[in-house]
Amino acid sequence: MKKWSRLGDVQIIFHYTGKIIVGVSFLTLIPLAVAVAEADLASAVDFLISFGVTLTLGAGLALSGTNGKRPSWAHGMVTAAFSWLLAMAVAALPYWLSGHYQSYLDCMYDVMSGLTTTGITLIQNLDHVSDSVNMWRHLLTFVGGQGIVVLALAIFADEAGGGYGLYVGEGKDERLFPSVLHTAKVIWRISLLYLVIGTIAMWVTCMVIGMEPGRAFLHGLWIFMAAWSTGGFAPMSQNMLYYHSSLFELVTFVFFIIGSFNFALHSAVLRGNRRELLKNLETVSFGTTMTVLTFLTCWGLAKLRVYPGIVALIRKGFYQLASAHTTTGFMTVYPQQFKGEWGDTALLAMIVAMMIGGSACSTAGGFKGLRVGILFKALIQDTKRLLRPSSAIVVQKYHYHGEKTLGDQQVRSAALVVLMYVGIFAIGTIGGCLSGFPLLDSAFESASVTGNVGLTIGVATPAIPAALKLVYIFNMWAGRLEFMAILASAGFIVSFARKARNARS
Amino acid sequence: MHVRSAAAGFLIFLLSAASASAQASAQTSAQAGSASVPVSELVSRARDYDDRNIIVQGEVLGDLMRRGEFVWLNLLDGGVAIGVWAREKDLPPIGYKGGYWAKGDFLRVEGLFHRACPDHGGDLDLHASSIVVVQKGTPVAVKARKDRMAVAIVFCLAGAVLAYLWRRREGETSNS
Repeated sequence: MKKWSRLGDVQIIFHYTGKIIVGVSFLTLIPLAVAVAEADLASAVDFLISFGVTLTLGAGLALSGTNGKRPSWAHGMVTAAFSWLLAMAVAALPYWLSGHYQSYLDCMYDVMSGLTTTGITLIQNLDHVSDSVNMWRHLLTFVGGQGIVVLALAIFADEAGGGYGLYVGEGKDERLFPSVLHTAKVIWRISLLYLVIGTIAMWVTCMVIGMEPGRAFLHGLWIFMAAWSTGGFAPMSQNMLYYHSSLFELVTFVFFIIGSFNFALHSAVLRGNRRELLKNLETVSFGTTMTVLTFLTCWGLAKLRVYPGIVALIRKGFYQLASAHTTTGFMTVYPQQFKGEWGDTALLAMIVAMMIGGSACSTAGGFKGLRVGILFKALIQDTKRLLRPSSAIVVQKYHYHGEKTLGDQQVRSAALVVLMYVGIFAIGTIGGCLSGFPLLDSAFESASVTGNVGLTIGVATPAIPAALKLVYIFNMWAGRLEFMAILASAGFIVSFARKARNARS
Repeated sequence: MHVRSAAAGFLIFLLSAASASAQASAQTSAQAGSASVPVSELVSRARDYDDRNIIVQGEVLGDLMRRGEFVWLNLLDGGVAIGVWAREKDLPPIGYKGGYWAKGDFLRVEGLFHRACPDHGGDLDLHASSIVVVQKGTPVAVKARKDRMAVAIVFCLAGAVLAYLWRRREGETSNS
């Protein structure tokens, strides 16, 4: 086990965090370009400040930590966790300068919401926000979906020993290729390919539903970014309801479903292996839970006669459920309708869907269909063991990019992650209750932030206590990074504090 | 003679003032013929207003989305927006649509409210029977602040210097 003991460890973490923050600084140039193109000097200056501050901080950290040493796996894990927090702090600056937020904490909340592809927003007067700020919101969610560390790995091309630690620390645990750098680049190539196709499709859709070409392009680009990243942000306060179109909902549905799939699955399908799509444990698990939960949601809605006919029932029930299960967070109902009309059965189905989420190594959140599949296979295996003679060896197979044998270590890892998700979900729910919200509302909102979903029942507003905002920020962060990096960081802090205390005594 | 014409003039002034006042009053009472419902209330108490003829007022937002003879527009009132479905021929000329660069025209819309519209896939919406522009919108002047420009220049320069030093030191470290 890694012993954290030297200043050198801090330097290495600072150096690589600095590089990632420099990467974030260059991202601000994109909304800056939008502001310049629209002759919006006020926003351009705000983004120039953000670029300067972020570059200064990032380059300063990278400079202070340059010691020529190679990072280890553990350095990578801590760097991933630390860089996400620092990125949240600096990327909030354009929001603060825009004047659309009540406090800097709200700005950081929205950045974490964007980067983790959650999508719940505390912005005020969203309908009057500049295009450059909207570009920043959606860019953060797009980059966050693929991973800011993955982006930094792809840009800086530094095949360091801790590269895999960085990569795993960001909640992705599959190398599509032996090299992490190659994997990071392939993830970005796949995303950029879909960005072009998706933006064109959404642009055309926006024009078909009656938007002017210029606005249609920007809305198309942003909505694609949010859909593909299973993010849930939208440029207008009504979210998807603004567009009043079943065609629009259908196109977004296709992109957020695709976005919730594993990058390894995308890579396999793009290389011609389409059978993987049907046999993969994760897609089978996703399809099964989606079917069961859609039935439950629609049954709950039908029982209460929430919608006038089967078409409306399916359109509203299925879209919201699919949005929850893929952890996208696009909404075609108002939060007040969830609260006042949907009823307990449909809301419970939504909570379960939000907790399960999409695929591992994708842009989606939740504890992932793969882990549900593994735990289900383990249940079958243990049931077989009970029914067969004690001397019998029960081998459980599953298909996941090839036939694999289920091992106890996999089951243990899956169970631990699910347990930790349930733990922070409980913390978020208790936080909501302590802030004066009903249990079901608190559970719904907690499932949404923990699973990085973005649907809201109306709890998360600028008016909630700062402590609850901090709990939600923690849940979004921990849910996105899937705990390993956070546990490593906690170990680093404890070890460092112990070392400092020993040095004093 | 002068007194008579002054008195007649005063009388005409009084009559025209009274007439103008009566006209204005009639216009106001016509506008407020029935009170408008805040959109936030419509959304939170949708079952109470379902399938009722109501009036809402608000700022028209960014896009008028034409669908055949009809048009979708979204009306913002008190931070909550609602979709309005209207015949295009019933729509008065809209000067400004609300966004970053403009405060949109303020409309008064009368129509049938649906909690879950059977014609529009269960959307919460309003089918307009009449739309009036109550107040014209205005462009919003957005100006850059000089103090912020100075801050931007300082931080960009500082960032550039530090980035140069970092890359140089990194080059030296990798060479050694």
